[in-house]
Amino acid sequence: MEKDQAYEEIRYIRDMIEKTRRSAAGSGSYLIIWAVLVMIAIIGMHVLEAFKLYNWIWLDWIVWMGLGVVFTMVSAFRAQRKNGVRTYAMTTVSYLWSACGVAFLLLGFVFPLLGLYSWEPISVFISVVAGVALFVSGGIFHWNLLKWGGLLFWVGSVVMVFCPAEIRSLVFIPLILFGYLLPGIVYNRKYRTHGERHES
Amino acid sequence: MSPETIPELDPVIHSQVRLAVLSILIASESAEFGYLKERTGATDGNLSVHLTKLEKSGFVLIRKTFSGKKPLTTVSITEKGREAFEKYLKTLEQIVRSEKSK
Repeated sequence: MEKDQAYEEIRYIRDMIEKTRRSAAGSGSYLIIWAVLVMIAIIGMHVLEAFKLYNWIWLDWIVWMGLGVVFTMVSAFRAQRKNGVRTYAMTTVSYLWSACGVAFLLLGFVFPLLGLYSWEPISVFISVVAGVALFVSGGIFHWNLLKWGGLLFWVGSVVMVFCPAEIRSLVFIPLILFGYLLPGIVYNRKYRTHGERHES
Repeated sequence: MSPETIPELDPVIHSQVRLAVLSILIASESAEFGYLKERTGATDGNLSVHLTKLEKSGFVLIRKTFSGKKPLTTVSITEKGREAFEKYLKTLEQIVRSEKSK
C-alpha cells in the first residue's frame, strides 16, 4: 500500500470514529428541560416560603425533580432507539448523572431528614455536585460551555456560603441560566442546524 | 524502517465497508444494523455479507433480537476484533512513517 492510501485510510478511520462519537453526544435538550424544572422548583419553593408553607417544600422538589427523572429516562430510551448506536461516552455520562442524582437525593433530602445538618447548606452541596456533573460531562463530550458551567457552579457554591441562608437558593438562578440553559440552547441550535453536534 | 518489516494488512479489515464498520464499532459499545447501513452507505445485502465475514473471523458479535415485533440486529466488536483493528491501524501508521523516512 502506498503512503497516500495509508494516510487516507487513517483519516477515514478517524473521521468515522469522530462522527460516531458526535452523533451520540445529544442535542442539549436534557439541559434545557432540567433548567426549566429546577427554575420552577426554586420559584415554587419561594412561593411556598412566602405563604409560610414550609412543610410542603420537599413535595415541590420531589414533584419537579421526579418529572425530570421520568422525562430523562423516557427520552434516553427513545434517543437510543432513534440513534441506533450506544457509545462508551453515553454510558459513562448516564452513570455519572445517575450517581450525581443519588448524591442530590442524599445531600438534599436524606441527610437533612436524618438530622445530619439543617436545610441551610443544601444549596451549597447541590451546587458542588452539579458542578462535577457538568464539568465531567463537558470533558467527555468536548462541550466547552459545559465545562465553564461546571466551574460556574463551583464558584457559585462558594458565593452561596457568604449569602444569607434564606436567599441562598436564589444564587441557583444565574447558575442554572448560564450553566444549564445557555449551553443547552447553544447545543440544541447546533444540533438542529447540522443534524449533529459540532465542536465550537 | 524498511518495507520488509511492515506486516501485511489484514485482508478481512482491508475493505471500505468492513473498515467503516469496525471504525464505528471501536468507538461504540454496540450499533444497530440500520445505523451501520446509514453510516457506511451499503445496501442491506452488501452489509450483511460484510458483517458475516467479520463475524466468521471472530471480529464482531451479531445479536438478533426483537424490538416489539420488529427484528433488531445489534453488532458489537469482540476483543479479537479490537486487537485486529489496532494492529491494522499500527500497520497503516508504519506504512506512513516508512514512506516518510524514505
